[in-house]
Amino acid sequence: MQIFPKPLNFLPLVAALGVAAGGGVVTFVFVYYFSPSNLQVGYAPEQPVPYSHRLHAGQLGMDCRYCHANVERSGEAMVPPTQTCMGCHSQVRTESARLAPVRESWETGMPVEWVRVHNIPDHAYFDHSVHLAAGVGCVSCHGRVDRMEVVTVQEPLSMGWCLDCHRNPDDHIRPISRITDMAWTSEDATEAERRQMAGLLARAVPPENCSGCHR
Amino acid sequence: MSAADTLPRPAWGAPALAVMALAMIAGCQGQTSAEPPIVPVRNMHELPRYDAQEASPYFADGRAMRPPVPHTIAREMEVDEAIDTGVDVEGDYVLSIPEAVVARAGGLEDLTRRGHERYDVYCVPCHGGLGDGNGMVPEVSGVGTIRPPTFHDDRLRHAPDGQIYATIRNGIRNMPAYAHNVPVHDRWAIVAYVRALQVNQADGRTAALEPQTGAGR
Repeated sequence: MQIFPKPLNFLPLVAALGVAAGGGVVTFVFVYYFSPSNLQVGYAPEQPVPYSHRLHAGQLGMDCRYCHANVERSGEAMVPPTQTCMGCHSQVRTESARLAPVRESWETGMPVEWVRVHNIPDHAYFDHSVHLAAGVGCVSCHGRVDRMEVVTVQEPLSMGWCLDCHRNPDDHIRPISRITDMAWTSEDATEAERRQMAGLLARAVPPENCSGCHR
Repeated sequence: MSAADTLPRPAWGAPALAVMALAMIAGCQGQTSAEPPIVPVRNMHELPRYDAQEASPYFADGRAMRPPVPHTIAREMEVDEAIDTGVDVEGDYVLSIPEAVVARAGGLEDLTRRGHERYDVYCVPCHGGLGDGNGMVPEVSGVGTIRPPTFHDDRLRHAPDGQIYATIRNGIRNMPAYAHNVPVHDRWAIVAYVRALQVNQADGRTAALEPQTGAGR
């Protein structure tokens, strides 16, 4: 007597395919949507003042360090103090409503509450000055800020992403004089710059051990 | 009627539609959002300590970072008054860049090179690459009042080095003080480069010096 109908012979195959497809979907969803490439990238918080990097760094051609003056000397690039803004804006666009929080900060001494855009976990240590001294430019991690009306996270800022460069820094080393130059690529390098890059690369010792960053 | 017809056929359409619907709702990777990033694993992500420039409700000004205590000296602060202010004990401007500054920079050439680099960062926006006052900011802002004077006249050619230094440090007229973002040695380095520019431009040459830096070209 036949208890199970014949088509049930395909049940193991169908079940296996179903599990594989379901597993595939779950894996895809996790890898694609739950990774820093999705969760971190694209973060563009609204700031108290709609400061345009595209205008200041792009069109006016101001160097990143004009405002982020500590970036070569300290671990933190630092958001500039109100004093830096007022250096120009005590004379330029003095009536602008969008600059009202800056003027208020200047008069009251209370800081403008800028929102941090690039935030790495507290258990990871990062030092701007070391990276700049090694020849890693702003654009490698921050993207073309000089084209951003609103600063947006461009890179996943994840551990895997850090290690990609720590293991293969070749493409991210540039001459020290080009460190803040967002438009510069290695194709633009002169002969002297190539020599400098080779020297920087030979000296580079990006840590790959845990305590390099988790200290 | 065969047994096969009584069994439900596997419906591939429904899960496929579900996946597509999910993808449409979730969107593509890295879409722009003003919402703070979601951190799935939060272990030690926020430690109970302040980051640099973080807000703190403890202090009246809301800053976790504290300004220096009055009458204290930070390690990196310059203790030589003449080097720090550009003015000597008699109250006169230091006539030339102090020897100690040149020595610490490793020679006048290195100091000038450093100055070139710093000048391109902090001075070029207003003073222009040649120091003639034709910078980008006066041009774009359209405000006549902030066009800085040229370095290439007798008044500034004969100004003591200390006066140029003090101007960078304290500001003058429309120019803000740069003490907070240009450290002592870089100010002297910029003085050295301004002197080099004045020599370079003295006989009316106008060959532009290629700026070493500059974010957007």
